[in-house]
Amino acid sequence: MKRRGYPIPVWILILLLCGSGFDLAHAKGRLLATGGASQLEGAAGGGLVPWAVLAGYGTRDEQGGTAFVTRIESGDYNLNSFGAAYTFNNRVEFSLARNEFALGTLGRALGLSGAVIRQDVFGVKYRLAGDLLYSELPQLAVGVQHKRNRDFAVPHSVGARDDTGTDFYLGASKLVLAGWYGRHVLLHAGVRASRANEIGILGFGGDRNDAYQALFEGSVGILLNRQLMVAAEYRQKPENLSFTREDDWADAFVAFFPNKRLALIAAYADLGTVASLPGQRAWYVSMQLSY
Amino acid sequence: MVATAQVRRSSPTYLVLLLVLLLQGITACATQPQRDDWLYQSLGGQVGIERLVNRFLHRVADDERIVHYFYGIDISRLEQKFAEYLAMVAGGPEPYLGEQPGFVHRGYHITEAAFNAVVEDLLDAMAELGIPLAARNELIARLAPLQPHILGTDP
Repeated sequence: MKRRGYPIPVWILILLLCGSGFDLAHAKGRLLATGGASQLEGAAGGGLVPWAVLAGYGTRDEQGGTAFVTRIESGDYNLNSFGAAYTFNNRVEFSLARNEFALGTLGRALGLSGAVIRQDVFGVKYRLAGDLLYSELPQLAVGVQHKRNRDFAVPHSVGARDDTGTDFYLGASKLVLAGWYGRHVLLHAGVRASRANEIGILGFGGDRNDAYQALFEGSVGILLNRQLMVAAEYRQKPENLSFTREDDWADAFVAFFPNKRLALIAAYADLGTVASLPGQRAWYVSMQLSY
Repeated sequence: MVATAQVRRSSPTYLVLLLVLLLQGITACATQPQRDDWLYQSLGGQVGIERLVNRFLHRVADDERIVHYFYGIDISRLEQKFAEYLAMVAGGPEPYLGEQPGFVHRGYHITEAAFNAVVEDLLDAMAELGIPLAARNELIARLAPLQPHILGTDP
């Protein structure tokens, strides 16, 4: 089943983006790198894991957000992701992302050369308490990611139950200042409730398991200087489909923040078995603009 | 950095590794030297700190985001008191005889963005003077807990 046209939240985000383009008072009151990168599903975070920080550089008195584009290539598959996020008063973040997963090798094996599975993700993240830098406790946030798989034929044929699903997550992030040999250290841990198969690319729920599961995700990063962070991430995943195993994801990345407009991220990710093809290791590059 | 062994859902290796890293980070933070004067020495002692405050105030004077907060302020007194305060924070021998930062900033309605602008000017001044990164980070780490008091958002 294909859905045509964008829903209303998309147009709201586009309007906000355009509005910000004319706004010379670019939100930039927070310190460099504290908005993180844009993770695959569009929320502020690392590459794979959403952090408790909100997109952009706006303080409690400012509005602002990000736009991003990400490309992942494993040799067998590739994934394009792009989207935008907008944060109000460093309190609530709205995000939108499109994932386009090219079936590649698997597609050719199935006689579906050039097949692509698309997914839209609508996200909201709410900062409950704390500040990444300035509070004793970590910054705490809860989030929702509502996902709509737009090309459900393949997921359906391999046992996925639904073409839409909603993830819920709770995360805590803390920048430990001068925490490790005089370098600032980012710590993040979160838990996610999800039924998504390969983050939703392969649909939601399945013949092996159809219930929500609690999944761990976390990141550790070190700021080598004000502009450069190296980090590693881990994201646990469910295993709902009997046709393939699904592995947890891990990556290591370098993020470069030359200024409060731009962030560039390069990662190497271990995605394990993805849709029956084992040993998927992928390069990941991402660019984020803040406004 | 490169991810190593293939991830298996059944194996908690990554989880354990991550937890170990988390604990190490926290332990490193907790065992940071606190009473000695290494930071004071890294900043160049009293003379170095006075030079730092001077460079910092020059940056503030050119910083349109925050300079208005300083109109009508006795800058030479501020310069002296801020240097005294930083010396005390850095573990120097001289006592700080001024008022508490929260009290001094009361009524100025300092925004989060203004506070961060000051942090950036201080970081830039330290970089300009060639102060090592670990010392810059440590000074910021020691000043950061002031933020809620300066903003007047402390309970």
